[in-house]
Amino acid sequence: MPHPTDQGACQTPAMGREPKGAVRAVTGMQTGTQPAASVDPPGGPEPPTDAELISGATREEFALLFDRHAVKIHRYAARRLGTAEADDLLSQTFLIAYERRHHYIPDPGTGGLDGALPWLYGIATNLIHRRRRSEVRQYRAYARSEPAGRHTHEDPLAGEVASRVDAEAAQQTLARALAGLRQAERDVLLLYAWEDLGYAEIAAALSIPIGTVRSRLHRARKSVRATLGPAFEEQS
Amino acid sequence: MTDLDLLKRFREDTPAPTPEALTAARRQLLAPPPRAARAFVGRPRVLLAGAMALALAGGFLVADVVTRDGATPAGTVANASTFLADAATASNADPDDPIPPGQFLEISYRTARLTPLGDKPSLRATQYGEKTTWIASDHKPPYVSTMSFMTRAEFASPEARELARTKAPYLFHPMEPSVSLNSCPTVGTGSTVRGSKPCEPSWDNPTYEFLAAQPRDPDLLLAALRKNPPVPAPDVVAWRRIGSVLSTGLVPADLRAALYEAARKIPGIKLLDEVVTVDGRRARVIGRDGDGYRDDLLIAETGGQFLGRRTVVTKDGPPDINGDPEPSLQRGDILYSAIATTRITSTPPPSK
Repeated sequence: MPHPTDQGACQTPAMGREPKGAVRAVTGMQTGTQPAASVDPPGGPEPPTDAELISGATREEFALLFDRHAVKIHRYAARRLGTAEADDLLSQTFLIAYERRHHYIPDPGTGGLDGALPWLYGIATNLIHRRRRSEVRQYRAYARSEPAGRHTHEDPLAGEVASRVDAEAAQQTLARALAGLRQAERDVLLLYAWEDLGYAEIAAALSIPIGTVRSRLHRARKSVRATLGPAFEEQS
Repeated sequence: MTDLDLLKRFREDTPAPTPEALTAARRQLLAPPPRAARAFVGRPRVLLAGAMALALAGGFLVADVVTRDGATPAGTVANASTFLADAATASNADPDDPIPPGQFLEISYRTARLTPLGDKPSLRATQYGEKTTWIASDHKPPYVSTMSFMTRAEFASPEARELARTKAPYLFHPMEPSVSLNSCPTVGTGSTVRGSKPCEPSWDNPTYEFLAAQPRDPDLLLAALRKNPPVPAPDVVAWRRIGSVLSTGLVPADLRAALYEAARKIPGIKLLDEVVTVDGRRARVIGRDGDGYRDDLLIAETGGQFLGRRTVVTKDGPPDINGDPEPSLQRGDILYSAIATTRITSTPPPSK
């Protein structure tokens, strides 16, 4: 396993996120059989913040940060690259984060439990860049795939089938749109839409100004809507 | 519905990571860094598991030892010979550390193999396997091993994944490494303690006694490597046996040096590009061409350490095991490879 030291986003202070209506789980692993102990036992002391875990600096303490965020990082990577690649990328993300822990600057404003998530997303995104071809290839393959049920028009549930096929066709068009986006625009769009990061958090994750986040997001959505067609062009 | 609504639904059914994936990633995070491990437990060596692993696994391939083989400028025999001579000198000058009493030599293999599923490069999978063996300070059996022929599989495309459901359903059933006690330090004929056959040492399944008995004179050693070839091509067999035995992690430094010297005498070897192994080590490649494939040894740029072994496809559609063209393989593909890391450790092997 390589231990790269020259990757990952250059961390800037994470800033408050815009309210987007999404409530994010903030502690603990999110699947049933994780290997680590919970960092916030019921009735126990206040769990440490991400910044406190990172400042601890031992691998064991840093592993608690893994327990807290690994599922989110893996899911983000898996949606972009597929599960198998995400498995590899997950470990690389946290190894790089550990190597670069001294570069992490906590957000003095929020200091929340999940304050390091944008930082981790930034590292993962940089690693995804290395596999850009793989990501785009997946979108294109998905766009080419035949919607399930296309040949089931004789099914007595034809109406439901048709609706499902339409929805899948729209997803395929979306896949084609994602494949056609510039990498930088896709990063912003997916962190915004999938991970519910706000402008400031995306800016922190990608080490870019907030204005750049806004402009990239605008361009990305415009491009996607154009590909999706008139039904989406007027909505926001 | 807005574009964002649609986007949120895109791949919404992506499964959560498996407990095994989380455990593996967490374990890597907790693993001591190589430099610290070196200082604490002795001198780790990176080795490649080659034909021995192939014999065990029915044909492991190394996937991520190196990336896809690039345009490798043709080397020369003279360059290869000089490099191997330097590697031999360096090996002789740096004998192995003994295993202290109560400690173990831990040999961990990681292997990968391309598995064709269809008639184009997007229709194939990569299987990953691993094996770890613990050698006690007296080198005596039983040897504890954990092994899984396939810890996971990756698919080149969604189409490949779908195709595999009918053509290779086993790819969806990875195995957890299981513990076994062996009478041979590698896995081969007679290796299982409870088996009825005794350990039968060979170049692909060596024992410490077998290795100690081999000549250190390069000419005599090459003759031994060419002896009793399973196919009528002694040089092909000798070259593969060198890679195989070096890959076991058991070869002492003086025999490694002799093997390098013997390899210099095999016709057709050439020095190729530099590569970087998955753990970041720089290696030089010594290759020997076959029919559509090239068998490579990866040796550290300096120090003479043996780092790995791989097989690279050298023409589009090389012959498969039946001699028919394999259209999913292309020139430059790494068909298989394996990497093994060895270290001295005080951590005892697992008991179950």
